[in-house]
Amino acid sequence: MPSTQIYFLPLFVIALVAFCFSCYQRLQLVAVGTSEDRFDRPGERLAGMFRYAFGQERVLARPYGLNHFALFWAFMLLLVANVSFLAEGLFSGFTLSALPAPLHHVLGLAFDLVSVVALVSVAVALARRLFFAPSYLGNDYTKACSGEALLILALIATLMVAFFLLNAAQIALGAEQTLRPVSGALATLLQGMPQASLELVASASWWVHAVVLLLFMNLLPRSKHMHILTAIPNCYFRNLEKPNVQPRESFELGKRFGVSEVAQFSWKDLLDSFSCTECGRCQDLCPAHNTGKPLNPRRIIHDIKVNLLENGVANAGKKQLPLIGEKAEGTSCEDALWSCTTCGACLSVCPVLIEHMPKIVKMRRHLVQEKARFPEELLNLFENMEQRSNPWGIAPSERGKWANLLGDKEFVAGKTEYLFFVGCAGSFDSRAKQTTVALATVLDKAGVTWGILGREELCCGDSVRRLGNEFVFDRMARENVAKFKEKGVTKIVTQCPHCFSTLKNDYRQYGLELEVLHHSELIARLVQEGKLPAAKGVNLGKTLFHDSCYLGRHNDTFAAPRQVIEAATGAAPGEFERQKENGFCCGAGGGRMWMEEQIGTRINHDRVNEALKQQPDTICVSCPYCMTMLEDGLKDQGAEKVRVKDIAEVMAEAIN
Amino acid sequence: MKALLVCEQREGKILDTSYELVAFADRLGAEKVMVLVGKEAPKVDGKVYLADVDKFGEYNPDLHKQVVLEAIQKENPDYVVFVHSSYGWDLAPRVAAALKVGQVSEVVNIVDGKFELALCNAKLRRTVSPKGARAVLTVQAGAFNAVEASGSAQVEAIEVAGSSQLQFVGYEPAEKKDVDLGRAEIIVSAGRGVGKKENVAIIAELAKAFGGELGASRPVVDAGWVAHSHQVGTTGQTVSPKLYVACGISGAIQHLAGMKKSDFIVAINKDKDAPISEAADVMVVADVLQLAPVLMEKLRAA
Amino acid sequence: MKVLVCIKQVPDMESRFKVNGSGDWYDEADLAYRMNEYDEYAVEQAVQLKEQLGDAPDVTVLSIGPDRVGDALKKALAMGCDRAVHVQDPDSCRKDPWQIADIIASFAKGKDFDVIFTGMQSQDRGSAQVGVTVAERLGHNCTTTLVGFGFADGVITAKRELEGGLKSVVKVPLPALVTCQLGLNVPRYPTLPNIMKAKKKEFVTVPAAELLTEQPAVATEKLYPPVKSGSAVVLEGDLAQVADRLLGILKEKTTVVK
Repeated sequence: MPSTQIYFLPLFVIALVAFCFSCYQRLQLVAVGTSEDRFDRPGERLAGMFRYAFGQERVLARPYGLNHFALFWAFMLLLVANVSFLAEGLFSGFTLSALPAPLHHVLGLAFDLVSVVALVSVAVALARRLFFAPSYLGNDYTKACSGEALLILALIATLMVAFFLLNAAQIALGAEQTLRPVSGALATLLQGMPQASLELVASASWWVHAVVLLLFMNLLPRSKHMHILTAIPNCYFRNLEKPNVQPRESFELGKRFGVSEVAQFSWKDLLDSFSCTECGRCQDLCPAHNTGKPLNPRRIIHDIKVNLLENGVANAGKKQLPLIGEKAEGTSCEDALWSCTTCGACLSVCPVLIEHMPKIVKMRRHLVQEKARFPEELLNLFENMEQRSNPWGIAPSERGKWANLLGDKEFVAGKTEYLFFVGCAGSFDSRAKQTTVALATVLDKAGVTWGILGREELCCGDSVRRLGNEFVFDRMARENVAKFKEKGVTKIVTQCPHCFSTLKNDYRQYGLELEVLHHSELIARLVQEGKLPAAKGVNLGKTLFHDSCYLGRHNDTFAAPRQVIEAATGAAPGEFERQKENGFCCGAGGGRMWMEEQIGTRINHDRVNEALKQQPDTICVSCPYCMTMLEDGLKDQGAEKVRVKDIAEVMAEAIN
Repeated sequence: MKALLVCEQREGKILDTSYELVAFADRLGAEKVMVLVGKEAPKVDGKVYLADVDKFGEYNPDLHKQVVLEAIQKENPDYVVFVHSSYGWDLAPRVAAALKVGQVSEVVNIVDGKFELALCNAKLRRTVSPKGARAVLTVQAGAFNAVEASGSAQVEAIEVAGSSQLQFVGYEPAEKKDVDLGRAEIIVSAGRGVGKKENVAIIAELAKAFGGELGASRPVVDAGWVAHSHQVGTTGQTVSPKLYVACGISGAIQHLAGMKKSDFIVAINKDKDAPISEAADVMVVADVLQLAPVLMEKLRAA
Repeated sequence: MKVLVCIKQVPDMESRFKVNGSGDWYDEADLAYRMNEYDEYAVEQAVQLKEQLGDAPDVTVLSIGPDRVGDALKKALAMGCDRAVHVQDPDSCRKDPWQIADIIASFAKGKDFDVIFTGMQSQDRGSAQVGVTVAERLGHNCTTTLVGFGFADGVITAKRELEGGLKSVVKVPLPALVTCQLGLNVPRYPTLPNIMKAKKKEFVTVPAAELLTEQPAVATEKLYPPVKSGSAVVLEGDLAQVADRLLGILKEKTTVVK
């Protein structure tokens, strides 16, 4: 088809140049971001890329993901088909038939079949959007059935149909017979047509396919389907550390702190924004979004992208679209940023490993550190933390008081194996103190030696870090790490998942590499080692276990607390509908514990109502925040008779 | 020993604290003379120097200082005594500076002839004695029980010359519309233990009987029983009234953190071991809904 | 315009206080220090005045005490004061208000401060004398216990807090000293860039001995903890009796129930 080449070559060149230019523009926008090292440990990165991008692990976590998986792999195969298609159009004589016959035949069969798969996937996708769209697909700025989504689906379908028609016409025209069941079947339908008509069908199909292909290619970088190009590298460049550990800041004169303009995000943050395909799974799980708060993790990412597109390119003198301000497309409102509980549901559900929550914390850092603008309740919190190293501003000398009845419980290196890092709640809150005492009893019973720092213990700084007050956190972390080193601490047990996660993960940035255990892990281990009795059959009635976000999702500790309950009661605890990775926050993380919850409904009510559907007698928790939130929630719902117990209390009951 | 008592009035009316000064002078065993910028003399036996408030102003510390100095000139007292009030702490240092003598602020007691003062949120006390022959004192309001206002003063008008650049514009009455718990001297708070919204009215009535403001714990506010402006605690107001009465409040740490600085804390709760007992000075084990009417009756009778 | 703010560093009032060895002050070991709360309002008002006047006023913040008071001064600088003066005095707790006022007055004399802000009182001593005494010594107009502050045409419009929620309004021409009550404004949380900038601001130290001219006027005889009231008194039983006993205790122990 020499005439085809004459027309196609310039069209192709134009399309290719336009595509490359679009990609270059997007890349240039990504490069606006600040530097961040995401190039280390290539082996681990590659492995993850195969797992998440090619293996589609997280996509497949939901049933409908199968459709995407099918479409993805159909695309991967059809990529070969389309390259050969383009090559045939550009270079006369290029044909896959030149390949050895078996290979050529297998490819032909594969292309034929996956095209059917793709067509079916598109039909399913369309039907889903039209007839059974899940609520999380749409939101306030985009509809499940958006024009863009429909256009893309239509283009893919057109490609497939044109592909079949082309093949069928060619077969009918007497092209070499290979095993192509669908095209073959279609060819028999065309059999009766005159040759000229068949040639017209073939030629028209070819051109439709060619033009749509080039159009589709050029649409990618200019739509949310950019993810087709960026999702794979995004998985490669994912955070290999715990993504809830925010990067450290250096405190120097003239530096900016946090993020108030899109260019202050790292290049990976910006790549994230192009990798979002608006699947809405983060929105579906977000406790803030689910209770009517203005936060939607996907919207945060979307707004960053819109803002980047608007502000990113060199446009000096042009009025910048604010990144934080009055809610608008491209601008996140402060209420949204303050609504985040940092529960990490968005992080753990995102199929392409976008890091939503750390971006929120970066913007909080700007608000707190550069603008001193935050919900007024936090002023007290920050001052209490700075002056007395606990959120309530209680005298530090009261910290070790709970242990007075137990005798001398000071940590002494060599004499006591574990430092029991009690935490603020465990030291001061009368309810959490019961957990503290229960844990002390359990450890003593198991013959574990432990000691506390008493008044010398400081707050771990979890809340201030998540709230964006990195300057105060930095001081707390340095002081704590120095204290651990000075005291010769080697093993730490905590009763609060927030202390646990902060000491274990965040403090690594400060050179602390100790064995840090949450009490659920230590108790489970002691049960396994036979130092604590298993299956004592404490009767708690019907139990439910509520996952703490900082223990479960942020540290993958799902089994240990359940094992402890099973050991104490003789039965595995009942489960919430939303559990483990999909667990629903109590509402207190990310410093929300210290803020009013005035917008929407209460997160703890949502969680408690979910529990009450199962009519439990006892809800087991592993975190003092969850304890407070669930107990309060139960009281608000008039269900005080449902008890909330920490797993340490459950175990203490079992060994009594 | 002689004490010049600087009495206080507002818009022509003698303030009751003036009679506390008399009680203080009696405790001190001092002969007393009074001075007042006002309209009428206090009802006490003894000499009262009276400067006309129309001439010297409702608040004009520069002129009032001259009046007090004139009285000192005439009486040569050992002590010049003020109430530790917005009037006293404003005026006393001016007089002390003019006399170049020491001032002892906010005397709460007299111990062995020395003046006892509180410091550091009353966590410590100390006794002091002025070094010179004469001293200026301010006395804590309420520390010395006022004598009865009965007696007839021997009034002597006082005239001084002087000028001041300060201009008193007027009084502004307390804003009624919103509660200001941070300023309240007495707070009576309702907790979840009051049971239901309707019962909050009983606690509000009790607060009124005490002459205080209504506070609330977070759950009561969250339930929509009272407005957020009444909330005491970590995410509400941090308060430090002279008296805090917690009704049906178990004492969650968020609440305790907001009220533990109160001078005196009474908890009324059915549960003797509720955490609030850790902070309370008096723990009343009772159903507040039953106790409140009895208390109100006695408060109103008093 | 020149503005002076006088601040004091005080122990955290949440602390447990112990009497020191010589029995004349509290033991400073183990105490955490912070800026006197009343003075935070004074600093904030000074900075707000500076902002109102287009950054024109030069705001000096002064504190007397041992080395640790540098922290309080740095906070004031971070809040927006321009320069700090640390009057070094390791023994400032033994100076009575008369002497403290003397030191400040000696410093301020001849420097033509137009407005001086102080806290209404300190949280530890609570004498409420220093501000007014300084004003008297300098011959400045003075008013106290501000819960409202306005400035226009060289005149301060002060809202004073009186008893029982009553307020009064006073106009005070410059030069003037005002003392600040809690709630006058909302003291700002220093931003990080300002904390960084504060490190570069002028910081002068002056030995107290160079400024002190007066002898103490009041001597502390003895310092001691108040008689322990013990843990909570528990009242239970007949309601009428309980109510009587409660009111009896309140009359005795508080000043607000008569």
